[in-house]
Amino acid sequence: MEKIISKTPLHQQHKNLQAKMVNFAGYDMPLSYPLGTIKEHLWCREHAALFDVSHMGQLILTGENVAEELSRLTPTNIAEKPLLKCAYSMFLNDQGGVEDDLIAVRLTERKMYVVVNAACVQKDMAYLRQNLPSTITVELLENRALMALQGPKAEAVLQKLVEAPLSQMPFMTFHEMSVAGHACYVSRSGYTGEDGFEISIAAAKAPALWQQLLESEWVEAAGLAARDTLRLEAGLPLYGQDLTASTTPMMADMAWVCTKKFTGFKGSSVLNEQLEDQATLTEVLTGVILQQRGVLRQGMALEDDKGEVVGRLTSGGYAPSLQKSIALAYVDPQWNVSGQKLFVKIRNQSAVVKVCGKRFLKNGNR
Amino acid sequence: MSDIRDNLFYTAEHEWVSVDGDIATVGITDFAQSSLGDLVFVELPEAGTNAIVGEQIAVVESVKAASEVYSPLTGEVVEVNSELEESPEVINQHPFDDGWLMKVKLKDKGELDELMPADQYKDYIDGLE
Repeated sequence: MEKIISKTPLHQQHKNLQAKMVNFAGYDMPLSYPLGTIKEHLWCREHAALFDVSHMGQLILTGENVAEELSRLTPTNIAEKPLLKCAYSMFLNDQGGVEDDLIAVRLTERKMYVVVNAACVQKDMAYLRQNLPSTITVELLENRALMALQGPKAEAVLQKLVEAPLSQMPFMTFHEMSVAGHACYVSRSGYTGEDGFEISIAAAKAPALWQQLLESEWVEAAGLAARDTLRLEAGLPLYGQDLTASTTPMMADMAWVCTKKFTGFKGSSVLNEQLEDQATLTEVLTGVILQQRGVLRQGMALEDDKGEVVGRLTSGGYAPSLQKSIALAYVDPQWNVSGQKLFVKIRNQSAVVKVCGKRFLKNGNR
Repeated sequence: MSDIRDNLFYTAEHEWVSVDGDIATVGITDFAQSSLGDLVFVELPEAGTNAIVGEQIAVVESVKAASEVYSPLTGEVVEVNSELEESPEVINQHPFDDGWLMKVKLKDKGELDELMPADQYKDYIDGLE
C-alpha cells in the first residue's frame, strides 16, 4: 500500500517559494528554501524566521478539572499554572522513559490547548483517551495551521498585525488574539533559542497570514533543517533522538519538568529513585563540541582516551552561529565535566571533542 | 533547473571532469550541490594519493549528511583545492569552477569514454528531477 503523505495548509506557499521538500512524520515539509539552511539559521538569530510547524499535533481537551487530570498523567504540576501560562511537560512510560514531550496551556478552567509532536499524535490521543476520565473529551484540531515566527525581530513584526501590546506578553504565555484580522491562538514560545511566537490559525486563513508575515523586510521563511540546527545550538532536545522511551527526564538533565510529588504517574518510582540516588543514573545528556574540522553526527560513539565507549551522540551537526560542529550526547556521568576531552571516530579517524554542557550558545566559544 | 556546462564529462554520481592534456579536474555538479544543500565540511585526499575509478576519494558534508565522492577516473591526485577546507561553501556558489575538488593525472584516457557528455547528463538528471 502506498503511504499517504499529508500536506499542511501552507504546502502551496512552500512550492511557490521553491522550497526543497522532505517527508517528515508523514508530512511533505519544507527542508530548506533557496536561501539555504545556514542563511536561514543566521537570519533567525539576527532578525526573524517564519516556520511552518502545522505538522505538530494541536489538541483541545475539554471537561471538568481538565488541568488536574492532565497533571495526573505527567511529572509536571500543570494545574498549578495560572490560566494562559504555558507548561512544558512529557508523557512517560512505566520505566520513566519519555513517550512524548508537549506544551499545555489552560484556556479556561475547563479547556486546555496541548501541542504534541507530529509523530506521536495518534499514540498520545489513544493514551489520553484511555487514561483521562470519560468526562474529558480529546479533540484533534485538524483544520488548523501552526506557524512559528522566531527571532529578535519577531515581536516588532507581529506587533504591526495585532493590537494587544506584545511587550506585555511574557515568554511561555498564551493569548487568543486577532492577527491581521484573523482569530488566532498565539503563544510566546518556540524551539530555536530565540524569542518568538507560535501562531495557530484556521487552515483557510493561514496562507494569507503567512504571506503577510513574509512581506516584512525582517522575515525570511526557514525550513526544518534550520529549525534543527537552531534547536541543537540552543541545546533543546528533540523527541525521538535526545528524548526517547528509554531516557528519563533525569537522564535528559530535565529534572525541572518534575514539579510535583513523585507519585501516582507512570514512571514516578523510577524518577524518584533517580532523584534520590544519583548513582542510579547510568547516563546523562550533555553537549560536546568538536575541536577540529568535521561534523559530528547522530549515532557516533564517544570514547575515553583508552578507547572505551563512554557515551553516544543523539543529535549532531554543524552549528552555523558557532561555526563549529556540536552534538547532544548521553555520557556516563563521571565524564560529564565541562572541558573534559573525549573522542569520536569519524570515518575511522579519531577526533577530539570537549564536553561543554547543553548551553552551546552561552558556552560554545570556549 | 540545474546548471550544466557543455565542455565537461559527467558521472551518474554527479561528478564532473574537465580534461587538459593528461590532467583531469574533478568536482561535483550543480545538481549535486543543490541536492546536498549547504556544505560545511570537505575531506579531500592528499596529493600523491592513487585515485581508482569508482572508489571513494573524498567526502563532502552538508548540514544534513555526509556524502562520499567516488573517483570518476584512475590516476594520481596531483593537486587538491585546499581553499575548500576553510570555505566549503565555495562548492555551493561555484560548483564548476572555484569549487573544484582535485586534479588527477590520468592513467588511462580511455576511461573518459565511460563518462557522459553534457547532453546525456542533462537527460539523466531530467529523469531524476
